[in-house]
Amino acid sequence: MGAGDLGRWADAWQAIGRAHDETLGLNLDRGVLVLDSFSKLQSLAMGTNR
Amino acid sequence: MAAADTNARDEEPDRLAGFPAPRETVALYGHGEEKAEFEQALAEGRLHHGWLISGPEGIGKATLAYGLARQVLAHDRPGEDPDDPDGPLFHQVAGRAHPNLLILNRTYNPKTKRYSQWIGVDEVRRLRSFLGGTAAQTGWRVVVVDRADELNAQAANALLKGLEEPPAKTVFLLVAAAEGRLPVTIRSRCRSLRLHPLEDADVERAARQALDAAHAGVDDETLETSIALAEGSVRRALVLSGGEGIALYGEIFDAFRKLPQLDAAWLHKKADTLGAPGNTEQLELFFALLLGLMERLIRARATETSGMIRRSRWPAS
Repeated sequence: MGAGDLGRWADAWQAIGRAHDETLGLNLDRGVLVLDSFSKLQSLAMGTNR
Repeated sequence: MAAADTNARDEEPDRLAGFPAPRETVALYGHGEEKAEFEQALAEGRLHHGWLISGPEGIGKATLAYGLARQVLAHDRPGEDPDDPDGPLFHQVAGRAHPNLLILNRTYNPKTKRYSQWIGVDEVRRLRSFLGGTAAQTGWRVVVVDRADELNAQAANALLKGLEEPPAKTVFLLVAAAEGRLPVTIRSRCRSLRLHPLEDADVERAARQALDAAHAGVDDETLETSIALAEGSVRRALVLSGGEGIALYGEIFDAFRKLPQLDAAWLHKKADTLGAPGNTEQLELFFALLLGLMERLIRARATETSGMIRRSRWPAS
């Protein structure tokens, strides 16, 4: 995690937390939540989510 | 109702297996100001009829709610110590047997052998007979909704009617981890007690007490690591200290460290396991650990970065 990426990591943290709340609140697919969260983290680590 | 169903109704859907339920717990760690605020209102005879006790999971919201319920129920019974674990009041509340206490929570379905996902309107309709009938004993009546953020829309409307026109000497204690899920019409009729995550020392004292009560042996190192990862939640510390909680954290940490590489087999296995119905507790733990890890890394890097900026502006001589 580079210093310049801090904002993007903070956004991802917030987005994953929100997706978690929505998934439980709306009874969405929980397996997809797990896959999507790590997909988001992978994109972030690769720098492809800019 | 069959005996097994009765037993299931007597349990809480989110109770940690083997540990005392909040209604069976006397000691409250932290939240002294919020407790005092309620007690003062009760003592001064200006107790509001609706209280919303909110905050993260596992920090003692329900324990506080039952402690306050005992205070209210003991108010008209001078000499009764609401926190005496050997007293009749404590036993009645702990056993869900006090005639002036109604507890509303998700119900157990013996056909599916699962708890319902929401508190439905049928559960809240019990309110009508509880509030409408003659109180079995003179004095206050208490309704505990644990948890109010699990009410479905119809049930929330039914509860709202009770909150709008409460009978005299009735108090509603609503417990919620996700306050935002409650309709604003309910929130606006309640006084709010917002609880915060506990200090590590309080988590440790509460966790040790629960582990002792459950006769669960946990070594000091495991407990210490669990508390460090628990983010102020006794429940999370207990889940982490037993079973595979710390191992799960190790897996998440490892996956995080290897990014952008991903072990697809591990990830799909996790998605299958955590996505299965009935694994909500594990899913919650997984995300609490993942988000906690991310938060700590972001905070550490932000502190490091601001330190670098400060050093570059004001270099040490």
